[in-house]
Amino acid sequence: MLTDEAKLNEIIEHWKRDSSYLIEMLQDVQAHYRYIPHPLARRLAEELDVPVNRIFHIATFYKGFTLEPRGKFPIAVCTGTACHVKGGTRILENILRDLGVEREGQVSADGLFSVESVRCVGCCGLAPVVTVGGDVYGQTSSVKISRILERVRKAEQAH
Amino acid sequence: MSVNTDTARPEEQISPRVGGYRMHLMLCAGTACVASNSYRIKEALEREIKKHGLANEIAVVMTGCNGFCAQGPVMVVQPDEIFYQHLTEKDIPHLVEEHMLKGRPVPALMYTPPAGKAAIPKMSEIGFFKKQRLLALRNRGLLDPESIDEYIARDGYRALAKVLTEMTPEQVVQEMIASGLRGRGGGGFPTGIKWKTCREAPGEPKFVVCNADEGDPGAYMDRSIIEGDPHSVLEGMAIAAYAIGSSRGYVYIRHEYPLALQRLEKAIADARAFCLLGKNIFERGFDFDVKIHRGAGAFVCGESTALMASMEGRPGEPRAKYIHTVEHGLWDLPTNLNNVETYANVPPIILRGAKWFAGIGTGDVSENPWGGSKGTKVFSLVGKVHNTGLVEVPMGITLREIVFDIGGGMMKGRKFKAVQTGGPSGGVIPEELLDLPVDFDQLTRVGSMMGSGGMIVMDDTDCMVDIARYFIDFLIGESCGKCLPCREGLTQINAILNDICNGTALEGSIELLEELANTVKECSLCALGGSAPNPVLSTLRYFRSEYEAHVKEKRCPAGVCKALITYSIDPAKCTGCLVCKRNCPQDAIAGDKKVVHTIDADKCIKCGICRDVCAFDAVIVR
Ligand SMILES: Cc1cc2nc3c(=O)[nH]c(=O)nc-3n(C[C@H](O)[C@H](O)[C@H](O)COP(=O)(O)O)c2cc1C
Ligand code: FES
Repeated sequence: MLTDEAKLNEIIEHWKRDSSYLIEMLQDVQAHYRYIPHPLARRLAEELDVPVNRIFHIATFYKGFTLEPRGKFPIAVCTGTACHVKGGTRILENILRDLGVEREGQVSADGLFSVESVRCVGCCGLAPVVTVGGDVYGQTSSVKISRILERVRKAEQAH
Repeated sequence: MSVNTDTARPEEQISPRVGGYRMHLMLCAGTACVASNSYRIKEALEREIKKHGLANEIAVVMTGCNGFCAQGPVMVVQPDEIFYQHLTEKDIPHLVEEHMLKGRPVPALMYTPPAGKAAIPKMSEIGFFKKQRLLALRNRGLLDPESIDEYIARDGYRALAKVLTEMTPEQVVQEMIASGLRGRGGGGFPTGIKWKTCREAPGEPKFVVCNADEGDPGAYMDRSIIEGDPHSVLEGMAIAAYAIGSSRGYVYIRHEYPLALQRLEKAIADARAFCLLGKNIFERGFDFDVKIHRGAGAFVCGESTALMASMEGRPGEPRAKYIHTVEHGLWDLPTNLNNVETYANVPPIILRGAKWFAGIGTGDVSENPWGGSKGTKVFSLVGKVHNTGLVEVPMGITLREIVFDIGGGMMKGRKFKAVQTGGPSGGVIPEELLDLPVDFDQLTRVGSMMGSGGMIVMDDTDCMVDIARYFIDFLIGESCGKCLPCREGLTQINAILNDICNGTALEGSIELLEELANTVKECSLCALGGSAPNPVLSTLRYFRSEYEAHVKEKRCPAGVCKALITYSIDPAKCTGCLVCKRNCPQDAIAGDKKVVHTIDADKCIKCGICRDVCAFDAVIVR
């Protein structure tokens, strides 16, 4: 995984080194690297002159940040209330089993997927909702998702 | 009678769309319809229109959320208001040829009510739309949210012009107080009173903040407003800024809403280009500009003090409520925080007057701003009803009308059990109370609350203990951990609920649960902890016997709690089609073609896939 610091510098300059935009900077880091790499968290702390623990406090407080890399196609299973009553939580359990991973956030052995629960992606009218690599699938089911994952696997193998 | 948007009420009448087209195809581009491929439909439509040489006569417009999300992608053909649903690319050539070229609408793509036979062509005659009344969503599906021209053509920024040219800030505040508008973000605090306090608070500069954090899982009203009509929020904020004497605005928006963010950014840039934001607006010496802050995913950040901490670049931890943010808010300066929907209601109130607004809804606010609930409320009507989506209804409508008339009743002919309102801070409302008029005070009286507008309908296959546990589990994850009653209390409540769901709870657990819930409610620092026990207390209040069945009989009547249920196959219904057998991840199902299948309880992990795939409803859960 790339941890080039050029991108980090770009992000810091974009927010004009203003530490009140720390959360925004971390979001950009997360979006680029798909997690918050430790060395970059330290660099960011030095650059902005804030204690490094504040960065980790924020990175662990907000759901949007992860400290370990995600799969190439992160899966998010909505477990908001609308999706919960339509079986979202069950879909999550079934995907975990399907990927052979023990917990949310863990990357599958082939490096392709990681799954996480999210609380409402805002398509509640289409519950249950799952997103795979950013694509939204509404009115879905365990079986449909498992077919989608199979398709992604095949496409990746063909590469 | 059509009461959707036009004919019934001249004061809410639609002005015709701009441009010289004979027909407008208003295709929904809300997140749900985009997920259902509406952009591909757009391409197909344009292709076919061009093919038939109709490009000068017919325009395709991508609109904000239409509301009827379950039927997506949806499209409304104007001016005749013909509603099409579940469109796919391959429907389009036929549709364009029949309707757009030959003028014959296509019934097969229209809405057909669950029990009905005939398709309903006109949008306003569909049950889902009939009882709605659109104020906050007044432009819903009628304009392209990315076009400031279209917003202006529909009276946009006229309310701002009116306050700047005809009203003093004090008059604006008075108008808001008289309208009876109460905050749509959950608390129901009178908006005018908040503006007045902020106006009078010492300290400069002052800030106007819009709460678009929308943390309530299962609700998406605010997202839909920003995606569908971003300028209405900006206009409301500008009016608030004028009233309280501020020139700086912020929108705090969830990062999970990329489309809303993008449309908001565009709206701000366009408004600046039109000098509707920036310096010396309408040449009246009034300056106001808006910046965006992206939230990073924390429910508690919807709480006012946590939100402001987060905006200052810190973890979103609330502080004690006795210091008010209207006086000591962002950077310790006076700050007016309102919800998205609250701001969206402001322009029509200014244009049509407080009296008009106060004429809609319940109670009387002429003496006391808390004396009633005025205007409308947008709800996200989801769960086990036929018609899921976003609805805007006048305050005072009954739950029964919402669930059965608008929602079209229960799915799969199941029995209504409860409706959950108010999100994680709210509660459930049982069948006996279906005739309750929906307003702030009535919902609070029955142990729930209005909240931001989530409305989740549940049927007899939803376990109320599981629902309580679901919300507590959510809130444990979202508690900031600063105060003990919330941090530890919720963990203990969760442990008891887990025991109940697992069938390992001891006699007396229910009483202990109740006592603990009341303690957390009393002693927590902020409103998150203070309202966190509500899902437990309200399910206990109306569904105590269901708790007792779990504890005493080790039984989950709704068939949800895994430890207490078994899966089996109903021999009378099973046709031996092998589908469940093929899909079972555990190889726990035996049977051959046309031979009734059976489930091996030792192998079964209760994943529920067999029930999902069975087309004959033959899988029994007990
Ligand atoms: C835990 C918690 C979460 C909240 N979440 C939201 C939210 O997501 N959106 C919102 O507008 N208000 C939310 N509120 C209410 C806000 O604190 C605040 O009252 C509201 O934004 C004020 O605007 P209004 O008067 O227009 O409703 C929340 C409150 C609490 C205690
Ligand atoms: S609850 Fe799943 S999208 Fe809202």
